[in-house]
Amino acid sequence: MTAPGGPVRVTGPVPTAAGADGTDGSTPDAPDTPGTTPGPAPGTAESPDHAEALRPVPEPPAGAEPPADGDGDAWTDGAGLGPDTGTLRRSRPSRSPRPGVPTPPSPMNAATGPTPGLATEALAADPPRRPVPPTFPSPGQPPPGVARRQGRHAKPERAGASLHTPPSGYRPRHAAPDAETEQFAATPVTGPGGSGPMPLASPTPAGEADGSDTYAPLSSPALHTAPGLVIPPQPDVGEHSDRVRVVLAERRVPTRAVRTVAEIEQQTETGELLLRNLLRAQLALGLRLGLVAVFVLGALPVLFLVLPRAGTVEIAGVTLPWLVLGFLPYPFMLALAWLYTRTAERNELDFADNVED
Amino acid sequence: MSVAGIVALVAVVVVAIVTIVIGSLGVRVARTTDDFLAASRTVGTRANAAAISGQYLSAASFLGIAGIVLKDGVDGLWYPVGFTAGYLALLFFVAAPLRRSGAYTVPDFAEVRLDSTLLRTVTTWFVVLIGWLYLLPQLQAAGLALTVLTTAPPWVGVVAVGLVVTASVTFGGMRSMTFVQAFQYWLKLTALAVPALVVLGVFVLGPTREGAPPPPVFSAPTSVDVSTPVTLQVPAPVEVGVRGEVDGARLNGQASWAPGPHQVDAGTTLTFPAGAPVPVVSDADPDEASWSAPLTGTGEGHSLLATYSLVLALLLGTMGLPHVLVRFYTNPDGRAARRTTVVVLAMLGGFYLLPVLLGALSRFYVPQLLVTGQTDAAVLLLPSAALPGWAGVAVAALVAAGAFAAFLSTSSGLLLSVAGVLSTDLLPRRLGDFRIAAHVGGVVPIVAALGATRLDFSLTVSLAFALAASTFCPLLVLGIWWKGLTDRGAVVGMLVGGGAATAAVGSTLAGVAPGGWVGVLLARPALVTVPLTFLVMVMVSRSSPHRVPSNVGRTLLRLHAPERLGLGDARRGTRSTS
Repeated sequence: MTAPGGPVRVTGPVPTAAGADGTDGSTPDAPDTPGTTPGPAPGTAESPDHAEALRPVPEPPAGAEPPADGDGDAWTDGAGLGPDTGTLRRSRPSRSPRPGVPTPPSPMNAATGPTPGLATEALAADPPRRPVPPTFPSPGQPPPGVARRQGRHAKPERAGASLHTPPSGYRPRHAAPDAETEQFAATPVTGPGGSGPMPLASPTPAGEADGSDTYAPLSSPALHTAPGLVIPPQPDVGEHSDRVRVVLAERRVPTRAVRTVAEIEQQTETGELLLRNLLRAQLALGLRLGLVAVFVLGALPVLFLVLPRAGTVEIAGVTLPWLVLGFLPYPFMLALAWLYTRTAERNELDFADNVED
Repeated sequence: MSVAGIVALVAVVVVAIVTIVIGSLGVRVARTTDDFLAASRTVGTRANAAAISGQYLSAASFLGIAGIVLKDGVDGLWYPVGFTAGYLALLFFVAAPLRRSGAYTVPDFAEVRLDSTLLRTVTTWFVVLIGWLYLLPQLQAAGLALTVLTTAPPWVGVVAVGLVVTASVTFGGMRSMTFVQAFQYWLKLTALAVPALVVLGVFVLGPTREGAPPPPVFSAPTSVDVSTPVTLQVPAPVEVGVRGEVDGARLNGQASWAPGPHQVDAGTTLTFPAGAPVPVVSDADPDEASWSAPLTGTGEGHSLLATYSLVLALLLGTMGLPHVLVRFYTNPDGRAARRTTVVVLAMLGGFYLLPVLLGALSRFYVPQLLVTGQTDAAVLLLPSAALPGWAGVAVAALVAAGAFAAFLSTSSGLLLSVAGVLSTDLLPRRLGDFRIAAHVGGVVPIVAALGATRLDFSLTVSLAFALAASTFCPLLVLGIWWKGLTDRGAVVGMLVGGGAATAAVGSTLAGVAPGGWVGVLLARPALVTVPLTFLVMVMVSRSSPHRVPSNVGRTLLRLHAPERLGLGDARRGTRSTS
């Protein structure tokens, strides 16, 4: 795969899309894809949005955000619509509806990235994770389509967008929740700028529940906690925010693991060590319990040979050898098997935890 | 043909029809090769465990264990213990990693791990060899069972079961087979549990045996037809009516046998009065004392050696049986494979109590089998001997149905895996070829079963175990746990160990094995051949370190890492959820 991050399931599609789209600057089909494959890009992009969305509701277009041209719009829209934050989550979907306007997919936007600064930072912060950033051609140069589009929605903010370097105001926002978030925000890097603008798109699509079908099922309270982004449920944003966060959450665990996994697969020292420990633990467990079985069962013939007397002892009308050989081995072996399974699963759990941390 | 025979035959036919129906129902679901071979890996833990157990409980388990217990007493108990312990070894060293390897068959595993075409070919041939060796006693048992039930000649049963199995495998594939096998486990369990409980009740509630001479004795005047030449040990002087050839002389009338060995030729009819002690075939324990004491009988003074070698073969052979391994590919992941194995252990342990009990009981009710040596028929004859009238007929029919379920399930599992490797490795890979392969795989053992002489099922089956233990066990264990294994080491080790085991097995089957400890080791070669294979594999691998596959670390990682890390094969459908 492309980059170390490549293996991550979610990301897969993104890079290509980004690259392709970036070049021509417009992908008509972008709209329909929202919920499905492109997921990663939009999802990541969203994270920032939400973070923003959730808190700053009041301070919408206020502008702190350079890339915000789109954002600004979105916000305003959202505000107007009230509860319909859905728009925010998806820059993509919203876009689609606009007939005449060429709509580059979010990743593309990112690529063209109104926020080069972010992109770079993001890369630096977490290179392995996201193959996307490296792929894009030129963060600095928004393709014509993009420019146009953005212009449309966010005329006022445009200036900000063009700046591309709003690090101060921008960054903190995404990173806000916790350190982890930062990473996430970084991923979208491609998108932060882009993502911002995109949502602006249209209130209508929001209603259409763009990604809702895909994401909705995922949204379970449990999941929310997982991601770095822990956001208190907000009255108006409630459900929508749920979806978004979930996506992030899902992605995050594997993403983390992937780095270690890659290490292991490339047989770096750490990886080797982890694998060797697992192997040793499992083999030692098997051998230990195996020896117990062999000694206990294997001692019986010798015992009978050395102590022929034992063969004549009767318990409840059954002589000892019959009892010892005919019945007892089965519960004994079952107990060993159960013990083994339990311990082996715990070993694997430990290994997985090590990998994921 | 007696009424009992007809009823039993009807029961058998019903089992065969149900098997085919369940098998063919599954065909609608089976669309791709994956569907066919591994049931798309979506079989649940309990269903899969029942299927594994159902497939594993062969004629040797269903008929053979009771027979060997009837004959050898306590020493026969090692068979069920060994059969079960095999799953313990499988669980400890093979189950989860094997499942995670994502391979369908042992040759697949060999290729995944060592990436060698030659090795793949060698393992393929051993799969076929072990499969056929294991099919042999199944088909012969079918012949014996049909003969006992209906007095039909043995070839009828062999051919009938052979054809049913071939048809079932040809039209089904594994998904349907999984349901068939699971169904057959419960059928077999019922078919032994009912007679065991009923006969035990009759035994306990029946007339007291206080003061009666210890078994085996004839409780009623009995006439016995000897169909194969036997040497009988006579424990005490006995009056016997003879029509036929005894001790080299033709005789028609009463004779008085002194204690000691007596040769009885085929076709002789012996008539014993009530209360006479039962003469037993030469390889059985002659009296109550030696029967109920361990380490007697088998091996002529080398019983310790024989016992250990047998147990080693059963312990390590299970993990090499192709039809057992194939079952593990239908688990959704490695964790499920382990849990399935635990359930299998429980199911087998519960099952094996029954044939042991039946074998002990048959010493009271069907001692004449000790005269003919056909002790494998004990389970089939016990119900009608212990229960008079229709109850006996009904229970006997149930047992017969269970026995045929045993032949069918094991044989179809074996044939499935044999046909699987034949079609993927020795024939071009298309679905149609699987059917051709199934026919080829089925015809050979049918012919062999018709030609070969019959040994005790437990013995023949343990030969297959010994061969599997000497070839696949080292390959799997070293392949899974040792990075240093090379393809050259694996090939040489399997050829040496497998060759030695095959030679030993062949000499035993051909009846040319000498006596003494050499004979014991030839009949039960595992004690020598398994360490030999391990040794050769390690030595040769050590001497060719440059042949260690470069991606070995990655392969081992895939075998051992839990699936949820996403390191396994991409085809895995379900992930463990907790």
